[in-house]
Amino acid sequence: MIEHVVQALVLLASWKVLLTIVICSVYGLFVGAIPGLTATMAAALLVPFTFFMDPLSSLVAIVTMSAMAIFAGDIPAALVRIPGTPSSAAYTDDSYELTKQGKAELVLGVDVVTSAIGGLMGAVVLMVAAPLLAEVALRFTSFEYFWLAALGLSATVMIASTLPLKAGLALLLGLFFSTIGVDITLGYPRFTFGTTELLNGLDFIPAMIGLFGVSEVLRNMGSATLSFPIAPIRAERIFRGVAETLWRYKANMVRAGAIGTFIGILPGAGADIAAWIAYAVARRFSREPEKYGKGAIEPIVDAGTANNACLAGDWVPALVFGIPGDSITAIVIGVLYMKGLRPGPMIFEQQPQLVYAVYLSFIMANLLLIPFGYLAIKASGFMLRVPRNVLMPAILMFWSA
Amino acid sequence: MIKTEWDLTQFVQRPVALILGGLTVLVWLTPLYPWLLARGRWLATPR
Repeated sequence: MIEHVVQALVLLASWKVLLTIVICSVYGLFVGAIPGLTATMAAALLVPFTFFMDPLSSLVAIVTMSAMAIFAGDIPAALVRIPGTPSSAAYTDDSYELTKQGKAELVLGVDVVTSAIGGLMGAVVLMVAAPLLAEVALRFTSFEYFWLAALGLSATVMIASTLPLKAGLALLLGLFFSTIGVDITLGYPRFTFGTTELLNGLDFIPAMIGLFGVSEVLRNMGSATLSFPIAPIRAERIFRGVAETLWRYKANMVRAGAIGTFIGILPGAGADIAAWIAYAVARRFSREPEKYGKGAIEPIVDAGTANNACLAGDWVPALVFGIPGDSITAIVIGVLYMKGLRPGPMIFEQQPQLVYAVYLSFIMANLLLIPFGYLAIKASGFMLRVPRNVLMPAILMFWSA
Repeated sequence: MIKTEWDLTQFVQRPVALILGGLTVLVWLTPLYPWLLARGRWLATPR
């Protein structure tokens, strides 16, 4: 194990990987802080760049970007009452109410530190659980894989929507699209209508960009708000009072980290669901549930820890079984296949240094979250003033190219 | 299906496959849980 950790550290220490981490940190913070741009959309936008990267840089890019983006979603939630990403929605009201009371710095300080702690807790669980599950998964036959896929898809249908029928129909449509192309068993073309372009099936990258990216841009077209004027923040006060607050809610953080990671391991449930569940559990066990939604710091600690802990949990089924934990890891699996790597238990045997590098990149990204998050909070005025009527067409133009 | 020559019992013969299959069926039944809970409460209410 130590040998693999050392190899992974050597891989991560290359200037290319370190530069990727810095660029993707800034990118993730920018995307996360702009309402309407989600972490999934940011991951989809990264895919064309991963063509030119080695497998490790591609994975590290997505890990770093997603950790930063999930935290950055808290910034507009606190400052303008609009969550930057869906995973910050659960505690937006509390964050904004505290901002109105003149406690914006405390909220953002708690956000950045709990995000980092949550992410580190998730990374530890990933490091422990993934190799253990991989050993079990090595004994799996096609029957177990069939049920795992059926369970993952079924759980996604039930979790993803308030209307399971609607989600079920969307699932069937997706499964139908995946049948297009040459049948792997019999070599017979299916639903190609004599078109040679369809023989290879529908390409993964246009599908990812169309489903996760263009849909978000189209959804934003109806929004009347183009940019968000905000009050200046006293950045030097960001970490003041954070240690006392977190010490008071230390048990909440442990509980939220466990909830977030567990939700992450479930196929289909992402950081937003983890945050909502952690919020609901915190309220259930709180001594002051009546304060929730009116400016309580407790739900910010809980949900802020859970959503970042969930990110690492999402990687457990993705790495061990090749089943995505959320939409970001669905993109990760696509990138792995694109790079000629097959996610599953064998990746732990064939590419241990890559797996360990992913673990370490989670730790590195969450440690870097504190300084980078601090800078992002300082720059939040600029980020929230970027007009969306310029940004969205630019993103669409980039994808079209 | 082709591998098992349509013998569907093979899908649940291995213990882990049986557990995963059971969990999948439980997930399929989740829309029924609120109805079952309400029904249980209704039956428990003294009339």
